[in-house]
Amino acid sequence: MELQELVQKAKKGDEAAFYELMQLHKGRLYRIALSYLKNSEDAVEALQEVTYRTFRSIRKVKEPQYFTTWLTRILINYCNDELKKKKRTLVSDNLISLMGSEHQSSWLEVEEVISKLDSKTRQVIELKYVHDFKIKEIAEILECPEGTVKTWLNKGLKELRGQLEEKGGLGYA
Amino acid sequence: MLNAEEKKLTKAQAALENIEVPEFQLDAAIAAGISKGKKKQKKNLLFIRTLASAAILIFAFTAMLRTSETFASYVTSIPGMEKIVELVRFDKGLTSAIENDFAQKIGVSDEHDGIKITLDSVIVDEQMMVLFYQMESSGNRKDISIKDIQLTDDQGKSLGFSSSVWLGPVDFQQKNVYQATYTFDGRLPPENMKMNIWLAEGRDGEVITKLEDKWVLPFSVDRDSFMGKKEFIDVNETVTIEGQKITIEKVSIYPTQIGVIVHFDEDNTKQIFRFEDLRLVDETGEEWAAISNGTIASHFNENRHEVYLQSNYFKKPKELYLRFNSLRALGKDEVEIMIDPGKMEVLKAPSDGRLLKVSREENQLLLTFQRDSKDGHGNISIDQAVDPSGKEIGDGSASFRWNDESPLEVLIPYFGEGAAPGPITLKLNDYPATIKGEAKIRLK
Repeated sequence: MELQELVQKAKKGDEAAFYELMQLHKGRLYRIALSYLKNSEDAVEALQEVTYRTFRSIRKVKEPQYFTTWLTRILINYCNDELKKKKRTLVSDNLISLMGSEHQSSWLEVEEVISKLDSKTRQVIELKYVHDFKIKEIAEILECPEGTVKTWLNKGLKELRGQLEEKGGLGYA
Repeated sequence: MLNAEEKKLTKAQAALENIEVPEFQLDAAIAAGISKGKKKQKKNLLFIRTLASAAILIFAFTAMLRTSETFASYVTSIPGMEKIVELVRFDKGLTSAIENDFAQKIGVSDEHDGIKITLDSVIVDEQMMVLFYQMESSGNRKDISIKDIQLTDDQGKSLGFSSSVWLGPVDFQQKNVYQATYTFDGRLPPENMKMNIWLAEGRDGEVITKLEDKWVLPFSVDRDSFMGKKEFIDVNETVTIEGQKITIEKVSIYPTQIGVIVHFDEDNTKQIFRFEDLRLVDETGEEWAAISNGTIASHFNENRHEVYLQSNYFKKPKELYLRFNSLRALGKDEVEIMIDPGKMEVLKAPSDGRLLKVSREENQLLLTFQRDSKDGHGNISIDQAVDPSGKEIGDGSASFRWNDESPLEVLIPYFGEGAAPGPITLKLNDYPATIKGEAKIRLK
């Protein structure tokens, strides 16, 4: 069934359609939650809370084509609230342990340089490159104009380039 | 072509993609999220629209409908009135009105689409009218909700009385009796009226399509049977509880209810919100408590309220006392909550620390309050939020949600409502803080 059709059904209270929608998005939501909260247990809990919030407010989705970005926004708001609550830097041990050994060093490297960006810029960079959202989608998630997203992206990439050059990490420079 | 830094980032994406998803745990989380959503949706979501007008009516809904299953034999059996007696059994005044043959039998029906609505009877006096009606379905219609109920004159013109009616799902299996209450506010109802009911097809109270037909129930009331059935007592006695002066001005006794007009001294240091146990007691010790269903009070202003008690009009006690021991009140310097939505910071709140936090949920501000009792929404109520320029924010709606373990969460529309930036003010109009004492005023 088409995503939009599922959203329409779920809006009318069709629980099976709602379950199907969450099934379609669970993997991506889980990975985004992992990248924020850094451990699997918290990411699973995030999915539960986001399912609950979405279930309660799905009627408010006006345009079914924005469902995915709307859902992502609910997750990101939740994760940011959780991070504020925890008020400490999270260690990535659990997250790293979930990855294959060949990926661990590249993740850590990126995490190190990204962590130096301001939070808004980092969010945009992560959504674009780590979570593979289009610029238009990021604008919907963050509820801001596409131009703003582009500005942040350019700023972020420039800073990253500077950092990597400093470290001598650009292989073919 | 990707830049080097973009390439690095893409590797991080591959690393994340490489993580195996715990299917079973995620499915369990989705199921738990849905079940939590269903539970809250059904049980404990109270949607309140704050009235902007000066004379505010305070409502409570403990029993807008009752099912026949819970019928108990201890109530007086009156042929043909069993279900209505059962519906009003928590209101001694209405029960006694029925026992004293004060209800007027109507028995008018209207049927469309296989759904039949019958206006069974009314209890009416100079103060208010209670309509009792039943709904039946001959077909297998499901998911029907009452969408709107309007009381008009025989020409179909709305009478504009304050009302408290049940709008929500209808259970045809249970053959419920429903109650609609109209308060006349000093006017008198015409002899000929029409009850107009609109239904909708929906699910869990969520309306999907309004049915085209309108169910119309014309009926007449016999004015002579209730005109003049009332009694006024001028009291004008002041009592002091924890330093707060409370004057009982006047008591009016009608068959359907008893109104008590109270005045809280303007110089009181505390704002009094509600009586917790205002009651009438006769010479035998029998008590009549506050009305707990429908309009329970009207507030002429902050300091002058009329509170409604169950009636003992038909009982005619020899001696009668008005008593109370506990009132909900808060220091006048504490009744305003101030929040900076930009920083999600509480700038001012009652000193008891009950307001735990402020956060955002979608486009709403979420205020979390600690709750004492295991049942109910904890007696917290808030006026419409006001922005720094003094403008009211949103449409006056607020949602309250809670469950057995959780604190009370109050959701107020804020983001996207065009409020001026800066701190907003929320005025409390009920709060779980009390003053206690002893008041016993002789009325008869």
